[in-house]
Amino acid sequence: MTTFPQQDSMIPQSGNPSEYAVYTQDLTQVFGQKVAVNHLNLAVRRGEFFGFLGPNGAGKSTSIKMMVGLLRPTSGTVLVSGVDVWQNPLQARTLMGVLPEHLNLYERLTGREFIAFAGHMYGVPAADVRRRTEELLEILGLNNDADKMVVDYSVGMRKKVALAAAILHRPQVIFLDEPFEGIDPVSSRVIRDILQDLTRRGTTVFFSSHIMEVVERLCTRVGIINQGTLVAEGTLQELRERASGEDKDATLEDIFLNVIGVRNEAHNLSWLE
Amino acid sequence: MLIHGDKLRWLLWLRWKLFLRAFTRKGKGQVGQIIGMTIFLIFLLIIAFAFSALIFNTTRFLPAPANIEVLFLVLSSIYVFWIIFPLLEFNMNEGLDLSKLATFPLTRWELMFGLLASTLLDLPTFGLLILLGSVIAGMATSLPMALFTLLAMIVFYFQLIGTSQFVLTALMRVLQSRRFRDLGVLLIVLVSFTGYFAQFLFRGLASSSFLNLLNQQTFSPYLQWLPSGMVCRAIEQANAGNWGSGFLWLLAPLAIGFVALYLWQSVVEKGLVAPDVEKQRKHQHKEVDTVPAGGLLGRLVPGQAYAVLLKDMRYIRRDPQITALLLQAILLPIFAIVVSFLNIGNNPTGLNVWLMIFTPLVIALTLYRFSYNALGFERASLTTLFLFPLRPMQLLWGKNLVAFGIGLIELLIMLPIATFLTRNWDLFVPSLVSGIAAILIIVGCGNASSVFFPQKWKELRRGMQTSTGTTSEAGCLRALMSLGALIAMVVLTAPVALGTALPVLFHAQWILALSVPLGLAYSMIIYVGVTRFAGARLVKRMPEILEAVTK
Repeated sequence: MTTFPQQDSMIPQSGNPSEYAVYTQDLTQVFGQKVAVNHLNLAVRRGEFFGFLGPNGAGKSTSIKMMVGLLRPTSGTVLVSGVDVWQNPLQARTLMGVLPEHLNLYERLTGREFIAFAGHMYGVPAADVRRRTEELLEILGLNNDADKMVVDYSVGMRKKVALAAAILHRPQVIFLDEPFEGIDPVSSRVIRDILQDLTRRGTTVFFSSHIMEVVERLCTRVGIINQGTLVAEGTLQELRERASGEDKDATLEDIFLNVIGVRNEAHNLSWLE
Repeated sequence: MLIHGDKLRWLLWLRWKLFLRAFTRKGKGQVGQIIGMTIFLIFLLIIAFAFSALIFNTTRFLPAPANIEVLFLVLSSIYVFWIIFPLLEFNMNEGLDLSKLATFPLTRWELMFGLLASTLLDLPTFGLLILLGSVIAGMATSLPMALFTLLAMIVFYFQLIGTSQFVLTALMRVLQSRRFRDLGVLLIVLVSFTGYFAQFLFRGLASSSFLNLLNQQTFSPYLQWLPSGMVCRAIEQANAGNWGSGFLWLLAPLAIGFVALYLWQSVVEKGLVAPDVEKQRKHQHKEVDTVPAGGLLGRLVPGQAYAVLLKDMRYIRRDPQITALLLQAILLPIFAIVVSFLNIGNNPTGLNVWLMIFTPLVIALTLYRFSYNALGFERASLTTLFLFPLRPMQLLWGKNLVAFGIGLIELLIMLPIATFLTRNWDLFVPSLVSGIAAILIIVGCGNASSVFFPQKWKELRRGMQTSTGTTSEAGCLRALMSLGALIAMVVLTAPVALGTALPVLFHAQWILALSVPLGLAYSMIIYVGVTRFAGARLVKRMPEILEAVTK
């Protein structure tokens, strides 16, 4: 297993924290005896496509919940575009869009109504809400189902509606927790294209995923969390260089498994012999 | 071999485990669940034994043919109830869910016997068996008659299970549809209001004219064509000594039971292998007005509050749980006022004055159910709402407008009716203003309890498990806190009520000109003060509120 630098060296100390799109300092969450997130220090630059990786139970969703203001941290600070999420929650929320892991949408609103409702919540002018809603429905392929209630939507449709609601106000930062989980390749492609378009226009995307191929294809930088601690962070190239003294063609999956300490060996069932 | 004993044993083991797990599974609310189950069991046993005693006494001691006529009515009622009730209740018992067994190499007979045996391990079945036992006891005038009735009850049970399972499975697609589920929730809420009227039915059943109907065999000519009626006819024939005819009558329900089980099996098998072709209803693209309209309300109410108001209005229409809550909030005061009026109908007119005074207060207090847990009513969607940069005061105003609007409409409907009935025209305006004042206080206090004592509102369930928000999984402490909030609301509303009641009581109604506006001003101060206080704390308490509502 390759040894990675300790986390302190990953904290970008240079520059003003408010220059970063997402900046966390010593972000910690303790549930009883369990330290779910342990002094997480992250700095995501504006316009980056940042992938947040980790095995199940590593603390990804807990971290994101603290970053978006849904779970009060035990200690630590979170800044989104320079605004403290826990000191100025309303101001911070105007700057971000969130696609949570568990979509708790208003199921008894139609897709169109929900997106428009989100627009009004973000204070977007009514005419813009109407125009952007129609455009989003068109691009996301939801036009024919826009007047169905969300309760009747498939997982992919729900994710698309939630994404539309999260980006309608042109946020500076978008947090996406497992956006590609449980959706078909077509919807996945649409979402990917929209996210790439957003980053090209300066929006920062912070997203967690288990799907290494997607992360590898989309992300400009990656952070890997394991047991609540950030164990690696950098561009794919940097990670590859650090991880692959012996293998320069290592995939992100190889790097990931290496970093979290899983040995790449075959597991055979004895009774299949 | 059609049935492997070993597989059948494991099917029964599965059912037994699932039955036990209902009582013993670990997790949140386990103690509450056990207490609830125990109370349900005691309730079930009391009801079952009460009905059993009634059935035993009527079938044993009523003279023929009235006793057999009672048997027709009892078994037919059980039959209809047993088929209809699961449709409203519809939550597939895991042990009876054959789709989960579809991947295993089980024969049709194994599945059928497994299912029949499994039904014996179900709480409602225990109640049913007690009832059927009372029929056997009632008709067991001799040993052969006891044995024949026992056989008849086994046949009845067999065909009852077969038919109910077939109907349930055949209607599965309809039952699982959202519209039917919504309807089921509303039906149960409405049925809960029929308790008062049930007394008339029981009075009718206990009357001598009903006994005459029994003696004239009014019901059996029709009911005998139901499978339950055929079983009754068999018992009647055996009781009269016509054993052959009795057995012949029993063959029919037995055959019906087999046919129903076969059909049920076929429907299940078809359902398992059929492609899930959903009728794709083509939605015509239409421009729905999702943007707040520019009406007077839209101009007066700030944007976010208006969006919350519109959203909540849509939810009242579309979410059956909230619709049910609204129905209860409307029906309760109507019910209370109508019953009060009927009771004081022959009394001196002085009492009618109180109807005018208490009508607005009753309406305001019933709004408590709408207001005390306004954030809890968002359920899991509260997470989404809290992701928006929503100003707390606007959130509370949006929600308050809904409750206030409902209360105002109720006032404007109920008060004129009460005024017309009692002829107290001079009290209309004071009562209306007092009502508005009381609603303001209730809604304001609701804001505080919503922010400081938020409660989880149970998710939509079917049938008798329907919750309309009065129950909480949050434990006794929160229940006590919300009780405290209710008491605080009543105490704070008291000055408004007294401001209207005392001048009337002391025949100094000129004071109303002073006390009623003062009451309104007092309520506005309370509303604004409490809402500002709650609003200021709302943002800081968001994680705690989410924890309470969504966990």
